[in-house]
Amino acid sequence: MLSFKRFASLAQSFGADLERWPAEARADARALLAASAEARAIFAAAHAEDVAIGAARQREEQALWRSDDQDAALARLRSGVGARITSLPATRQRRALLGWSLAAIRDLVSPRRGWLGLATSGGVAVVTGFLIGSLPVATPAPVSVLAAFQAMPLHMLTN
Amino acid sequence: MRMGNVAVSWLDIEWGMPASEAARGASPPMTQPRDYAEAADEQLVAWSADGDRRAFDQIVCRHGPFALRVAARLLPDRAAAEDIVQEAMVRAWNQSGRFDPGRARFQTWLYRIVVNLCIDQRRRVTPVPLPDTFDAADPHAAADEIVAATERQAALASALRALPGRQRAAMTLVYDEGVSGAEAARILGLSAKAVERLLARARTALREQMLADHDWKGN
Repeated sequence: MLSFKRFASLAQSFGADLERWPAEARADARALLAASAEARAIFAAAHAEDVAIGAARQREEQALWRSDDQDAALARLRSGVGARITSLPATRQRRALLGWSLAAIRDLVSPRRGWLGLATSGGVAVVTGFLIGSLPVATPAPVSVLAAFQAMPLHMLTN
Repeated sequence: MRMGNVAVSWLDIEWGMPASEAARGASPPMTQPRDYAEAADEQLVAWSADGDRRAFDQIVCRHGPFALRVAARLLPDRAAAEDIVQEAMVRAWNQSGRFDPGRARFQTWLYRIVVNLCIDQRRRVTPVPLPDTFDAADPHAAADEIVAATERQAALASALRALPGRQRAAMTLVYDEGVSGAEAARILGLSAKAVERLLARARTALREQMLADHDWKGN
């Protein structure tokens, strides 16, 4: 049974809409409301607060979003998220390729396939290497420390 | 055939080929077409973890409206809300491989990312005044009543926006979005009792605002 103190505490948290209350407390709350004038007074005060808060929230909501704005915002979100995840490094693609090649090699290098399987697995490894190499990656900085060391003697020789 | 099956899904990942086309290209069909609209969230996030961007787009379609509404209530303007939700979605994409359906529902996991980012953002920014359109008057009511009601609502709305981030988030989830207290607790990473306390404190602050407004009117 819901104590009066607990009833008042729940009204203070969730207001006068019993649908917001924890499901296990609703039936007891209804029983208390039917039996206690004091509980009804607390509930009426909570209801008055709900109405005032609801009106303020509704006004704020109207100022923030209109229905066509929400559709446009969702379209912008889809487009923005799509562009960003497409531009992320291709680590997942590389991982998927490596998983595929390892699975293929494991499948091919089995005792029942013998040397033919082993040779084919070598071919699979080479093809996978080409495919991984062909994936787009971020281009490295044009000038590196190593390049500077290598370019210096050649430059001196040509002069 | 295992290798063919894997290769088809790789093509789908690499170039975003529709699964139905990928299945048509194989003989006999190696993969079932992916029904994104009917798939459960947990299935979509598993596909996303494999790099399927269309699966993730379905997640954005499904949960974007809720995330945008919550963020718009928690942040000072819509542009900030859209930016935060976009950031949350990209984080969800990046971390989709780490999502464990045994520990939480996907929806709870995603909304927690959104709400936490909003609360962090609120800590960084100062509140801005409500837009001019906020005070739009009802021409059918008497002028004095309009002014009084508008002032009360504006003051209360300001108090609502000035609530601390977690209190505001709890109110938004439970009061505006109809999320249960228990689910709000999971999203906020708190106990149900802690959410009850947040809501009670928020209502106390709003009641004080209402009482202050009443006293001011009485003087």
